[in-house]
Amino acid sequence: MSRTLVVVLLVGLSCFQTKVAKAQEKSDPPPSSPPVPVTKIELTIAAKGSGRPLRRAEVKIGQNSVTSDPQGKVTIEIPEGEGTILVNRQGYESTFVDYKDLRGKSSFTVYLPPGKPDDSEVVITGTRRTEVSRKTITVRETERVAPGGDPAQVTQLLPGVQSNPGSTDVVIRGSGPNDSRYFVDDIVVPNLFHSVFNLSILPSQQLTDVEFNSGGFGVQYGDATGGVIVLRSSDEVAEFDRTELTVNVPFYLGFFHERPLSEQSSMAVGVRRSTIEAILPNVVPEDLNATVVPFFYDLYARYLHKTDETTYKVTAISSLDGLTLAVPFDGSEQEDGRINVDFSNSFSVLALEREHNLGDGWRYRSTPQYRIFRIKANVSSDDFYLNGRVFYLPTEFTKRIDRGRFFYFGFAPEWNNIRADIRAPVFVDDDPFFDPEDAPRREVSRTFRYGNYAVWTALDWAWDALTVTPGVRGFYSGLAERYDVDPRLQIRYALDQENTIKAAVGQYSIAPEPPEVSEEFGNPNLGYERSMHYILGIETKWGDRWLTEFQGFFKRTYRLIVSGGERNFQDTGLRQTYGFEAFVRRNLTEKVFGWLAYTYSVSREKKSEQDAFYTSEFDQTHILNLAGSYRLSAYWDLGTRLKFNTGSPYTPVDGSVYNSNLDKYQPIFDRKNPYSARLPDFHSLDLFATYDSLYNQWKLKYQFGIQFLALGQRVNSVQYNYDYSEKEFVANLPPIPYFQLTAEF
Amino acid sequence: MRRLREWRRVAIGLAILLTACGDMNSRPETADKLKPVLVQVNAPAAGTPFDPPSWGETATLTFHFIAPESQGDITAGSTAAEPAPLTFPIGPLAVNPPTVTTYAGLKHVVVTASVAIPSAAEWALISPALAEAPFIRLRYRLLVNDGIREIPIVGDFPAYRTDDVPGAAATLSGSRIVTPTSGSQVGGELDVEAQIVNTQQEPVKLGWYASAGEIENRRAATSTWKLPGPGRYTLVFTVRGKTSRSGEIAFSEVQVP
Repeated sequence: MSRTLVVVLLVGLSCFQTKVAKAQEKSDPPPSSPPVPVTKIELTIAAKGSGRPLRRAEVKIGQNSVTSDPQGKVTIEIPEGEGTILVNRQGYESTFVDYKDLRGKSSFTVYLPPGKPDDSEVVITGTRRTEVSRKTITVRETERVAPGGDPAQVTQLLPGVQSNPGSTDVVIRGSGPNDSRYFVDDIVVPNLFHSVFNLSILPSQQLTDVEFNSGGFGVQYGDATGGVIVLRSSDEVAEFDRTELTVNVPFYLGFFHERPLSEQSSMAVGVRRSTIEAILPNVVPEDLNATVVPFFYDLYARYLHKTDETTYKVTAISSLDGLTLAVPFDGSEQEDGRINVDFSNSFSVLALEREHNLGDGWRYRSTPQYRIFRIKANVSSDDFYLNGRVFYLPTEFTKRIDRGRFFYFGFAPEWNNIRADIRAPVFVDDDPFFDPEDAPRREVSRTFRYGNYAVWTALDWAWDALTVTPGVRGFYSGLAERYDVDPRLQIRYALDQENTIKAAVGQYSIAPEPPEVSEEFGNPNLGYERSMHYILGIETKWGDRWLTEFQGFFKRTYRLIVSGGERNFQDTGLRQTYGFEAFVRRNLTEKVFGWLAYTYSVSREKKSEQDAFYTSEFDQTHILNLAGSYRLSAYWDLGTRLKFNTGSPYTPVDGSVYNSNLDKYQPIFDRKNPYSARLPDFHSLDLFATYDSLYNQWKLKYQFGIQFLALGQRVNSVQYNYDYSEKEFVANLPPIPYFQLTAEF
Repeated sequence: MRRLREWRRVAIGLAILLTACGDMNSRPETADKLKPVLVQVNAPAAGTPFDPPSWGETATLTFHFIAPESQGDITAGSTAAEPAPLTFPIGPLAVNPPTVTTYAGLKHVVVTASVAIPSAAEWALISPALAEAPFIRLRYRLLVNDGIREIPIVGDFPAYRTDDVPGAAATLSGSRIVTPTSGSQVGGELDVEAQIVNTQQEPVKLGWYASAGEIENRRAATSTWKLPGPGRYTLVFTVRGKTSRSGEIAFSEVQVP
């Protein structure tokens, strides 16, 4: 891996040197013979910081003006005497060039610096298919409000998303973190974030949008009861070479390169490798006697070919997260009194997307994809290995009937081959003195081969101001061995130009996991978890600058799979979540961008119908997120994120008992009142800045900041002393400063 | 593989938990209040062989505690153990009054209790399958009160059908503190080392305790003991077998000049 990185860095460096050499050739003409007056000169107008030619730049010579061609070139005649030419282009600073600097040269390149940020123009973003609860944030926007410009991080700042600092879990409207699905275009990815720094698994350079569906989503998405997050990649063929080298201290190194291969095709490759594992051992306090080594890498490659009728994308994504840990541990069985934890989670996916215009209003998009994944967890003498191969073939046909009316039809077969090798403690739910340290072990090896199949259809039907989208999704899970159907309905009604009412109601299902239905581990009789979503809201545009959206939601999840019963799992649980969200967004201009998101929600659940409701593990009553960015100049950009949320619930400890088998105290939880206590409310502040240092043909981007600042007590977990007679609230993460330097050329 | 991502959460959570820094000062190894440290079953007297607990016999449980020198009266009692899977509750135990031995900076409190183990015929009355088992794990419960709080102590031990059942002879007797030797003079920070006699190589759990100071890793056979200053101190070592539930306790008194 490190050898690969060195190779790509060398390639990048050589690209850079070539560019600089070319720049020197262009801007420094060879020392020539005595100056001979030349009246004609070819100017190239280019953007400072990248050297890319600028078409339609205006060059004024006296009263005359000419415009640059698509290659940024323009030929002018220099008049006799003294004077200047003026070069103008929208979005760039006007630049004067003295005649004397041009005389005696046959060509000259004028580099235009970027203009002052303009607050008068709002960036309009396109829209995709109608979704009631979708928020779309473009990468141009995410770069302004995410530390280091990492796009996927913004999902944790949107309405309905629970926030737990340092955690990569995305908890949406009270659903569990595993109830949501993640995509890159139509490619399924198991996770969006690396465990370190909440860094997304893809480089931002190839992305255009982050789409976040917090509920009520369309029938094209299945096997999810929470939300859906989609990272959209660009459909545009690259026009220029682009290379970026990134050094993020203390977290990672990155390389990205994109280049056109022809007018219709381009390729891109990106690779990142963590550096935190080299730094962390030097900062962990010695008296902790701990070895903590988190690490990750990701690799992204894409080939894009686009014609008028067809687009092909071949995409490869690979990601690995790992953690090696050795610390003193009370349950250690080793003579050094430590426990060793070795954990890694990796996946690789190869996909071919083909989008084709069939004519007569028909289009289709198909993305066959092959994914392999591996989860390895080794804790002391316990092991958990999971190796899987999945082939998935989502295909969708779209027919444009007429203006505002579309018909959709799709299918998605999936074949899974998963191998599990497990040596783990046998959990005994009703043993008050259960402790994994002392529990008997069970070793199981099992291969799961099964197919999942889904077919769906939907209709966008518009009558004047009303758009109704009914849809239905039929599916079969090879694990649950059941067919079922989810009907869904979405409605939009435009009250006037500014106000739109949105509503959705639908059923969402999620199939059980292999261990839950296996004969060895779980209950083969488990069915689908079911969730009903009810959403009503209003979206208002306040001119072209501001947008507000208010939504109320109610979500009832039943047949929830919970632990317990004779087969370890039973689908008797019920969870209800309701609340409302407010989203105030200041649309992107060159100067200002940001949003305020507030969520009020109540989430409660019970293990069976006859039990009483208790507060859900994922309940946070108030969640407030403020994200903002202000561009001071063409070079400086300031950003901030402010987070506040009600403390997460936890089950209090009533007392303890000394277990002489293990020489340790075991907590006695208040099982009658689960999750009846709460951590203190949490808040944190992130501050960050970006500075662009421009050179003619390349630029250096400095990004720096600090995360998890707090104005007072900052708490995100509860910790007890050895005999549970004392407790205190602790912060798992200290304020983390970072510095990122990116060379773009 | 949604729920399988739980493993990632567990690993990351474990890392955070283990590395999170708290300000709580109470340390488990210090004899600053009454603390249970070991329970032995049929603890052999010096020079006598180990007699495993067997059906139809009476087992003796020896509960060891450490306490500060200022510790007042201690009372002990027993109730029937809670039912739990994989073990059979017994009790209440017949509890004897505590005995106290004073070491430098701490008291060693011992409570002995006895319980009659049902015979094979009695197990057969409960369940014929039980009577066929080579051993049955018996769960006990003791309650001690140091005048301020009550500490429930639970555990279990295997009672064998006969003494010749494999595993019945497992014992850790003879395990001892190698360094420091009792009566030695030491510096403010010293290495400690224990020798473990593990006749059947079963998984064991070690524990270091002390009258004062801090032990860097109290679950390791070798560790470092940081002492607070001049004075006389006592170091306590325990080892217990995770299968046999046998155990050993050793003391070593030292002086920092």
